[in-house]
Amino acid sequence: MIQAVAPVQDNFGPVKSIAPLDEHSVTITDENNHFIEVSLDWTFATSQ
Amino acid sequence: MQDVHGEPSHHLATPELDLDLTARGGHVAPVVFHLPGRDVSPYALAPWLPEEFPEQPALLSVLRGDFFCLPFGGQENGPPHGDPANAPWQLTGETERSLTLYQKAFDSGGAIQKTISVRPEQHALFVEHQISNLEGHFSYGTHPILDLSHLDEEQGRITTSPFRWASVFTDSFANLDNGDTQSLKIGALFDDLKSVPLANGGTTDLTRYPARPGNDDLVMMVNEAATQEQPFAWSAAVLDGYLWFALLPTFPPLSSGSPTAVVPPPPGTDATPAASASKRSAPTSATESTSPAKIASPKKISPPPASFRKTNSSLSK
Repeated sequence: MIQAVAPVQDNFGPVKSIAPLDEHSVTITDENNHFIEVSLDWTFATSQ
Repeated sequence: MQDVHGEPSHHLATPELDLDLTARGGHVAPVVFHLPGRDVSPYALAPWLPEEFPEQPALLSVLRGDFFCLPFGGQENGPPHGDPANAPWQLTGETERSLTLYQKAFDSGGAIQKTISVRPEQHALFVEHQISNLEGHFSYGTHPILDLSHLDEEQGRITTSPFRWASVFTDSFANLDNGDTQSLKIGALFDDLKSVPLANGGTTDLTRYPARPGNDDLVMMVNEAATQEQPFAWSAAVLDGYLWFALLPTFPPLSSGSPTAVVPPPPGTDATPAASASKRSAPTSATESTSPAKIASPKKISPPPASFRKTNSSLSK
């Protein structure tokens, strides 16, 4: 399991999706299609 | 070790975060993430000190942050959520970026190794529980608790990855005998967190917190099967200028082709992923052999017995 935080703008809404960008980062998108890219070794969560 | 919020705790400090992990119960909190220009501490600590309730199980007297549960829920011959959430852990390894602890759980018989690690330039906890010597039919999971008490009403927004089944708990969850109340309709199925049936009619939006003050409610969700594009389940909470999120594996993993997996509870709902889902085509427990198994999230779940009462209230009160 990975538990993480990331800064967002005040207008960032409810998260609509979190999906891999590459092996070491994810894209987090809100309901208004604002998005951020977060450095994260997400494969840890799928390799257990 | 040092006392943190009244409980002896191990400390890990990296450029990305500072965390404390209680020796008793293995509860992690506070965790202070050092974001650029700002520190944030998303996890809740109980509004009491352990010494105030020495007669309570450590789960309740120590209660904070996140902890591992085996079993997930109550049990006849051991404390609620099992020894991993209540009994002492022994520190067996420590590096500049990780803590490793061990516990022999006398209630289940399992031997558990907990490792929490931090990777450079990632504001994240990488949490692993490796279990061995466990044989039988068990539910298990982690139990993150976020502090939303400082937010304005409905400022916090909580969502999860798509789910294929969801229900309000099929029995009373609040301690009604103690005057507590719950707002959701017991056993109601739903397919949208924004529209969950209320006991008194109508619906409510479970993506917004704080909300429904004074009520203790429990909902459960089973996520959609993993795909190549969506290989993990997730839950997320948008807070004040930052978001907390969790990534979890699906079980069985994508390569097996099975669609069964479990999404963790939305933390702000004060929900635990316990369900009587087996009656509704969602597996709720796992049979373990003595082979070691690594667990990174709730895997499959079982309902707590009726005698098990809610264990945390800091989110909804």
